[in-house]
Amino acid sequence: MQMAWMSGSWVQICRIDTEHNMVHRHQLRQDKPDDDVGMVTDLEFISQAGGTDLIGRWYDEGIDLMQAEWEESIRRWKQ
Amino acid sequence: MSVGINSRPAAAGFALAKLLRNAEFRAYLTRSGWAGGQHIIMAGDGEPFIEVFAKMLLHDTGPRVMVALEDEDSPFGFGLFTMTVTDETVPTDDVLTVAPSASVGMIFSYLRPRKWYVPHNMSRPFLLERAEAPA
Repeated sequence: MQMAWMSGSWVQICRIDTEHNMVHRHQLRQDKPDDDVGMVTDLEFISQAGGTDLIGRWYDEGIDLMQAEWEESIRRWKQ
Repeated sequence: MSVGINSRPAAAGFALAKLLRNAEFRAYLTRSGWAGGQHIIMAGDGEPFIEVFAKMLLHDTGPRVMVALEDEDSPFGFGLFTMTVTDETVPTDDVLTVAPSASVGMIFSYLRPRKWYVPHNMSRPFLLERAEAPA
């Protein structure tokens, strides 16, 4: 989860999580503060076989993605 | 001086986040006084301590934060110490004097294992405790 200090409080910018057998990226927006889901991008389907390994791999890849795209994520949040 | 996310401390912060998958590292953090949800402030070894302290005050971090800095002599490559606001009576012989030029690395080296810090113009003291290496 990427958080940012904005105008005196911490706000969530984006996050990567899992639900419905899928790894997702959620992009939130400044003008929709009550929308905790945001724009959802499917990243990878989690099959029963090897699911644990896949989630472990996405923990590291998710952090890499957050690090690489942190500026773009803030730009999208402000749009 | 602001610390950009492309700076070395920020990159180290992402490395530390990856370490959170490691159960031994999480146990080390817990023994060192960290609890889930508490802020971890990544600092550069040469970063002025007073700026790191200001981050705690200005960013609504709550009464306790953990400070982490890259340190090859520390377990997992990160030196750790907590800063906690307290109401305890400060032992006068264990108070940290912080020069404006003091760096985080200097403060970390000096904490063996704890010191009190009473910031100018603040009524409540802060307890700084250095993480102990795992047995």
